[in-house]
Amino acid sequence: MNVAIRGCFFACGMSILAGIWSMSAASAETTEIQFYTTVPRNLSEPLAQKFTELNPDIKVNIFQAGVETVLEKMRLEARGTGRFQADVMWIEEPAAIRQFADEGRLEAYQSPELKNVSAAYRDPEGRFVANHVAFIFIMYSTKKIQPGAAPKSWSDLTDTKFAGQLVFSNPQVSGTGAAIVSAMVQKFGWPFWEGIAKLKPVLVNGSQGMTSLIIQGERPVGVMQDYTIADAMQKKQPVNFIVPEEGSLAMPAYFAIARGTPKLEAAKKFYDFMISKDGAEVLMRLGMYHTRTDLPGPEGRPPIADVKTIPFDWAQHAREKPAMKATFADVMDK
Amino acid sequence: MTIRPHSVAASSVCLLSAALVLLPIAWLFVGPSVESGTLNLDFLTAVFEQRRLLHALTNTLQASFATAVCATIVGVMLAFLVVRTDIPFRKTISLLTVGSFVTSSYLQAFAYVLLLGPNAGVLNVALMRLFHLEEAPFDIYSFWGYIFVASLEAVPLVFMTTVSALRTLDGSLENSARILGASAWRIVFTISLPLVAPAIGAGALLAFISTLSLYGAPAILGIRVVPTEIQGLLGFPARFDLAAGVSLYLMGPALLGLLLYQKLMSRSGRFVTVTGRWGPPEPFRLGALRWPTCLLGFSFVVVAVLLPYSVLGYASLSKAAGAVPSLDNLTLDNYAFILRDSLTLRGLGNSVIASLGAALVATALACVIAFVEVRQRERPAVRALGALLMLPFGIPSVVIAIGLILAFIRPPLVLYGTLWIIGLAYLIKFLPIAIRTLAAVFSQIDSSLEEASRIVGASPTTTFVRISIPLVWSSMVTATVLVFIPCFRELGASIILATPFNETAAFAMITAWGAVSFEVTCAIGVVMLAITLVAQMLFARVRPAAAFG
Repeated sequence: MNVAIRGCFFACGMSILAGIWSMSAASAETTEIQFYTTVPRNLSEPLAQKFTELNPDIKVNIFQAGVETVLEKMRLEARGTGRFQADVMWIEEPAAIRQFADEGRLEAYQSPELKNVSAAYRDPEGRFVANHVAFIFIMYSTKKIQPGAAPKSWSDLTDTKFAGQLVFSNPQVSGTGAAIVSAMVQKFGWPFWEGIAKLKPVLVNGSQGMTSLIIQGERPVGVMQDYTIADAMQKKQPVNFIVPEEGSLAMPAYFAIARGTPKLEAAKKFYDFMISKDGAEVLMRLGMYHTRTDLPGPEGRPPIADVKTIPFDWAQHAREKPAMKATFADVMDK
Repeated sequence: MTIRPHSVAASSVCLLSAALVLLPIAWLFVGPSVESGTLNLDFLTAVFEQRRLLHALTNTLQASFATAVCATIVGVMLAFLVVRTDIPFRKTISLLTVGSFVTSSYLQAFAYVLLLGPNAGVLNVALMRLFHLEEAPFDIYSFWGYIFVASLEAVPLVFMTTVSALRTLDGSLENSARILGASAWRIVFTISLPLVAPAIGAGALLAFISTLSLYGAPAILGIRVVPTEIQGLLGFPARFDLAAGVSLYLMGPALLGLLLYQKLMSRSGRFVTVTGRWGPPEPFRLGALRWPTCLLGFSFVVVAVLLPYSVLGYASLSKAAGAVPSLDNLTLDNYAFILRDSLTLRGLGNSVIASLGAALVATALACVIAFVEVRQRERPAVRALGALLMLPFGIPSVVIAIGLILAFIRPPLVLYGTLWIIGLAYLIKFLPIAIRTLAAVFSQIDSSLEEASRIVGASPTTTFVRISIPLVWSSMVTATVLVFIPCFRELGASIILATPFNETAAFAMITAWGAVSFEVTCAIGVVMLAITLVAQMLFARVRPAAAFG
């Protein structure tokens, strides 16, 4: 009889086991720090590994997801408990980091390594520092687009020959996508997106779907982070890239320590490491730009100072984001 | 006849479940008021200031309705072929149809972009060459493209609920009609299908409501629906209040559908087919038509499983999915990566545990709830309970997850950061599937069997456990499978509830897409399908300890 009751017991038992498992995994001899990042795991994990190699008594537990997901999660944590559950964070959204700093949620730390970082990428008080900068380039499928026919600049993208060929990250759900929309609005105004809207672009959530769409040639032109393009090209996918003539959009990834973390000492060591030579070498090996002034950039690419960028006001972007999203939806509907 | 839920157990199960559902939802709406200290109802009116949200709402309703209609037609047809005819490969069709339910909405949609994309879709290109067409015949980036993909995802819901009802059908009615000389078609449309109407209705309702909250496919296809809008509102700077408000308006149509269903089912006794004189129905013998009909049944499997998984499977075995196909491009590295990758392995383990736990608890709770709901359906409180418990299915799971975080991130009960909170989210979100599946079957069982048990002196609890449960056993297994699979693929809640160590398989899969490669993502998708197929075969072996009849 009572198979149902037995089922219940079984379920409870399994759940308890699950609970124990998740707890036992979190308790060990060494110090463990919680690391929230928006940088894809193939790039953030090697850094954490290198750090643990150099500091065997500190283990780094990573949570990695898209910009909007990570920020949404941190907001909820702060709302529920008054502080972040993350001890350290590495986030590609300067406006959010600045806001966290203004709210007093970040630990000010004068790392001895800070002096080696380009002044443009660090907070004078040491509350946050960008050890890495991603650049947005135009990526295209070499299967579908001849090198001569590829767009040369941002404004080329509005050319009618790219009708039905373009893909963008949906700014409604993607932080990177939103920054790109704002950057073009700041540079060209809304006519840029009105021109794009006429070409019926595909809007996907986040970079995942986008890269695959370009690689497969279904939507052969899109804009993408340099490290994603480098990764695809290294895997011999049929793609290539163009640095837009007006300049690329720079997206610094800021590292910061959450104020009130119980693991402050370990967090500081990680901070030092992220802007250290060791850290920069890992970044270079992975084809990413670092911000140290005393080391060259990744192999085969211009030094970071020579990459032409378009000016972009992140604070204005953060202020106007809700209005931008609404206008963007209307423009795309026309 | 009434078996009152006077046993404390039944009422407490119902109350507990109601509390479970109310908790996260209540936090969403009461939260702003609690935190600001004043009554804050801005979110109710704020929605109407946003024109695009209303536009998204109309889109969502149209798509969900069309999807429910398509999925019901296909699902019922498949269920009938599998249960009531003698076509070959019935078990395979059933296994793969249900298995297709595990395909992540993202992957299913993306596979169809690769197949039916207007520029480079494999099928489009092939059709253009074959028929010398100027333009691609299909465009997946369209409203109908979205409905097509959404229907593929909803068919298993209708299929499973209908199958479980058809299996418990009483054969005597069909036999009478046969003896009286009715044709097979006439028997099907005037007897068999009308008799399982509660189950078909339940399946259609589930299909409708689940499409209301679908996120993955519209996100990939760029269709503007409420769940994608909600996701947009949660970005930085987040508008949790608006997101909660929009979800509330999404609950409206879900409730409306449920009330309509309850109204249809209220003429009690109309669908009772399992009585004391129980005999299994005879399958329809199709003779020479067996093979052509089998092909018809397989056509869904081809569209929902074989085509997408041939694209995804090929990618999972490629070094570079976009490269020109060649032997040099083939590799097993993507699968080897899974075996080396601690995040993916942990994710698979966590997903199995959380999904199985949620599915078993959901089935156990649903047994009691569905029984009370069917046997006491005239009581307003019971109807209200039924409606309340249905709500989470129509709410995007990310919204449920936000409510859960706010409820369980601080003392007295801190579950945030554990696997418990993920299991809880699954339970809340997918309990309605189990309830609807079992309620449909309970409404087919004549209460005379329970009365007989009571007459010989058994207590209500004994009657429930020894008579009612064995009668619906196969549907309990169905319910467990139907809850397990969507939990296993669930992403919206899993991603926002994830912290280091409680990540799930779907989370590992989607982060691999952005970070490792599309090829590895496909490999994880294929492994998830394989696990689901094995789980189904294991579930099918579970038999009641005390066999009935």
